[in-house]
Amino acid sequence: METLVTLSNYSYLKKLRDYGVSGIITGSRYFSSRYFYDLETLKKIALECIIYGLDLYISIDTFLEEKDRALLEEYLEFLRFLRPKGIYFSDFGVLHLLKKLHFEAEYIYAPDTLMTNSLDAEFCLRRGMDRVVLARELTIPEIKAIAQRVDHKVDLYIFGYLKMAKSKRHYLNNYFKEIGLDKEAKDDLYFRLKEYNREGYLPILETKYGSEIYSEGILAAYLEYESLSKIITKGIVDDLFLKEEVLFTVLKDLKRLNGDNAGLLLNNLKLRFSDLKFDDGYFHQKTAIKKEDA
Amino acid sequence: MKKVELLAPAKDLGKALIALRYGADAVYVGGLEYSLRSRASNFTLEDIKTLVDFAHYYRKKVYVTVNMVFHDDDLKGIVDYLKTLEMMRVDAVIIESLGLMALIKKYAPKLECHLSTQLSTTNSLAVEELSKWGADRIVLAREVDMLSIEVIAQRCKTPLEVFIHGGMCANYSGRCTLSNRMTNRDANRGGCAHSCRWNYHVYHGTELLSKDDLPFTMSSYDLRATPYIERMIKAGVASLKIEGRMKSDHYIAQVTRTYRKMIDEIEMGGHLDEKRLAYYNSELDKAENRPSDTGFLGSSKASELFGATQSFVSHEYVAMVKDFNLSNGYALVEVRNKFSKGDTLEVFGPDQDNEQFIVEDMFDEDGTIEVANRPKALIWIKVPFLVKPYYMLRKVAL
Ligand code: SF4
Repeated sequence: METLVTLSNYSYLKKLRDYGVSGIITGSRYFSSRYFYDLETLKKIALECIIYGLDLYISIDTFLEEKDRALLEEYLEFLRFLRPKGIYFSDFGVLHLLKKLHFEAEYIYAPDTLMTNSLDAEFCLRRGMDRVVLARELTIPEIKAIAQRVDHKVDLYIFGYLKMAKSKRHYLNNYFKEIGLDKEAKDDLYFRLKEYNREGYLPILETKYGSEIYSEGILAAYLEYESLSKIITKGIVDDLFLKEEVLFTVLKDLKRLNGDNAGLLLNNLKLRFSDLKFDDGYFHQKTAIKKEDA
Repeated sequence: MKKVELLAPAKDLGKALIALRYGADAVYVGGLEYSLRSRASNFTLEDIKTLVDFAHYYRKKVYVTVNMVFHDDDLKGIVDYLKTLEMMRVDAVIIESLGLMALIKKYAPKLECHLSTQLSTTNSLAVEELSKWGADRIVLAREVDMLSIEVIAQRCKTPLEVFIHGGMCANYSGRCTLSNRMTNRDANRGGCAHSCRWNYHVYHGTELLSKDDLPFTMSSYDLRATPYIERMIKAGVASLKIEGRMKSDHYIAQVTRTYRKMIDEIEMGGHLDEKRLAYYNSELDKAENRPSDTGFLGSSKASELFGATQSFVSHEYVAMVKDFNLSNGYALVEVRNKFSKGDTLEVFGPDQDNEQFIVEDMFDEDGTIEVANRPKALIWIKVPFLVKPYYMLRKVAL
């Protein structure tokens, strides 16, 4: 399993290479719900990826509006010159355009919650997609079954806050308007929600495209890493909302993780960052279909 | 102008028949398995068969939702289920899974595949791609605005279905796991706990910003697309969809009938001016119990309205007509909610405009009664005009 890191901080690039990362996933202010780079910076990132030998993947994770068709086409033409290794997308309109423009790159379908079974993964790979990103809501046996069915052409989130919701609504700014608070939420990474009766703070990020809400805990696939590494092509470390220190501790750990030291390294991580909550996501917990089963 | 389909929801056979009687051209229902709303569904295969026979007799259609976001284990037995639906002459299945679409094309090819709003289809390029793969109809995301719907309809041949009324997920449909994470109930497999409607504190760093007298919630207004129906029909949208499989008989009847009348008026060449729109909105108010707006259809910020916590009902549903005795003018009704002698009731039916009367006399098997307050009780009530089975009575708040 190669490690990819989402790049929210441009200054990390060289260090990422030193930590054994094989590539980065990033994007720009265009058609991305979490990257804020302008096109010039994206160009620089692309150049540095070449210099440092990192694979560049671009994420286009918004749902395309009809009025933005031409803009997307222009954006893809721009990206073509950056020669990304692949494009992550969640809208089949993007795929349609990639194919129409004969865009040479890996096409990776990343629909967040929807990629949950072998049938769909197989379908996508037969329709010209190179890999799919599995949903975060899968157990280890489910992940294994899908990966085996599609010749391991799957990516999986292995570390980071888990995305829980995506909305076109601008939740925070609407709320601030309603309560008469003069505060701007756009592109600010420091907002958190806390449900009245539950522990834990949910990071929420608002951009011009809407809002995304993340989990209170951080997925840390330490104990599962060794078995996952045999079946997953790319493991994704999501750096969003993570402090630099946490990110690089984890990357260092991933380089030396094995079946024997995983527990120890995970404990050390928990001790070192005791203010954070690490968990194993859905790896060992199947979610219930009905209320009665929950 | 192409005739548009009015598509209504139903959680059980009774509601489906009401929807069809009150003007729906098609109904969508969930079976006991494989459906996102299986928890809200009471359709056995036998019920589906009965419904299909009834609907087809009146040249109407039945769509079955097979729209759970499947995990591998959930797919057991699915091919047999699809073949059975095909054999029963179900007209289409509403699905999210593209892999399932491939199975349907292979094993149950007579079933049309309608791709669910969970796929968040927002543009004509996606419609084209999905059509190429076999989609027979595409349900657009609720996040698409009216102008985009018009353009997509013009650019694409594949029939489009658009939500016009009912509850909206605060997040993109299918892209929300708040419930999974917070309650272990999978929203994409029918277990949603509506965590978006809960109250949350908002912090920036460690600073608390939210107010307890108006807590943060993601709860959204319900959708009511009345000002846009005319444009949708003229744009060539194939199907106008009402949401609400959890709703009451009265809701289904009133909302379906209102849109039926509205569509008929538009298709007869009528243009709906402010006055007519106000009339239709007032009719919908009689069914609605949550604040509504036009969602993302307009370019205004209506979609962004914060918090939908209030609720109101202007007319309370109190009884359904079972029979009418022409010789003495008494109707046999099944009681749903309390009403009393002296109350003003409004009657409406599939072919009956609203008509009001004052309750002067009613009795049950024990004799005259002053108050009808036993749900499901059958009582006789004096009605000064002809009513028919399936007409509904509601109390007018004076
Ligand atoms: S929690 Fe709310 S937004 Fe999320 S799936 Fe449930 S109803 Fe939809």
